[in-house]
Amino acid sequence: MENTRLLLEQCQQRADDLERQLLDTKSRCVSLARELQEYSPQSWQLSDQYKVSRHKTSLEDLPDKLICEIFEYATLLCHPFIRSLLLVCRRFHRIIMSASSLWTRIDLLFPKDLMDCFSPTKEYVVTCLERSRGRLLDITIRFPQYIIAENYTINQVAVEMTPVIGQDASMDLRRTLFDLSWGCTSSLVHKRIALIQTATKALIGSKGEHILRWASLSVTLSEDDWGNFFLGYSEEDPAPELQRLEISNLRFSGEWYQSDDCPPHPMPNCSH
Amino acid sequence: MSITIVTSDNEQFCVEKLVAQRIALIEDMVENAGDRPIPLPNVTASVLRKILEYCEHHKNDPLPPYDDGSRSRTTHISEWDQKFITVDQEMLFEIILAANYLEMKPLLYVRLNVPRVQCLTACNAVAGDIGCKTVANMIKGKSPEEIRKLFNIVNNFTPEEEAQIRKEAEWAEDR
Repeated sequence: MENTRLLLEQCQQRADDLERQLLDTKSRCVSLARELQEYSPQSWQLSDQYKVSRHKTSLEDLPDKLICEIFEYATLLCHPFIRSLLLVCRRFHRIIMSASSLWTRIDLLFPKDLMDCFSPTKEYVVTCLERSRGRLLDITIRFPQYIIAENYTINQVAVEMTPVIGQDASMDLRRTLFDLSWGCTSSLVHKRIALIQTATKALIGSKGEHILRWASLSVTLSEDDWGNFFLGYSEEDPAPELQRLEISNLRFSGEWYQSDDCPPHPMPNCSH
Repeated sequence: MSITIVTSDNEQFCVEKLVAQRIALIEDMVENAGDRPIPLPNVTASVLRKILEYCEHHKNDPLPPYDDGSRSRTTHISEWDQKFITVDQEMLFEIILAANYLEMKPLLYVRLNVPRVQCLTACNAVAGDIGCKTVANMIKGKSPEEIRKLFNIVNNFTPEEEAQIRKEAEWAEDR
């Protein structure tokens, strides 16, 4: 009997302990729930971070050859854009510097107005020539509307005057200024023209040696006959590897091209 | 006639042979596999579903025009292909990797018996190439920082390295 009473007391004590523990746990639970409520906005972010930590396939998972293919397309319309790609990260830089095929397109895309800002320079051409390591080249040149300094300034005057004196009088003015051999004294204009000439001549080489590497050539001529100078080189040294020749604004080519000539000059393998 | 393909996540696809034959890797495996399912341990079901959608749509396409890799190349993507490739970035890169693994480029060479050079340049028609064009179109005209942000790429150049590259690439600065 005594033993049973002692056992009951122990059980009661145990039940009291458990009840205290339960109350403590409930209290802790309420406290934690309150704390959790404070952190709930952060917990959403943490959950998003958790999702990101799972490996997601990204651009960095592509092999070099596919990245190279992407760069080919990305630089298709404006090759100097390759500079942006060079500056992204070490891997991009390594891929571009080791792929000579990415340097075989040379785009000299000058703005329509001679004095608008532009990027293609002689250094750009020389860089492409070096990094393409002897491969054949695809060249695109778009000359400004006017490259000869006098033509450029006379056109500027005529354009400015047209709203004031009208189209016909503006044409007369243009002719008169031409007859007067009206010169251009702006050193900025002459400097800009020199930059274009230097960049273009770099494509030819001092002895025409780079013409041997031309695989395709697309030229948009200026409205004066400066572009003929460039095409004149190819007349002297026909490009043996030229597969494609496109000339836009051919009507401005002056005496270089006669409509009876087709193809304009003997260029082996060339289609027009 | 159809064949069964099993993906890396163990999903089975029953595919019309004409459709599956657009995928060179599968065509090579069909001969050896007999009636057994063809396992693709590097492609998940969701990606294969997209690839097969592409193959189904293009199953009767003729060989694309000859592309000599020069200026005639274009980043143009047809309307259907554009819609097909409008997916999130992860899926886009999964498709590119899968098309590369599945050797979809040489498929035309094998099936249509065209010269090897023409086969390699006919790649414009495959899903992977559309993927590359899509990524290129996303990149075009963006600054290095914008490209990094777009693809979550870490700039791991040291300041000195970056300055040196900028200096070497001054030719592309506007004048």
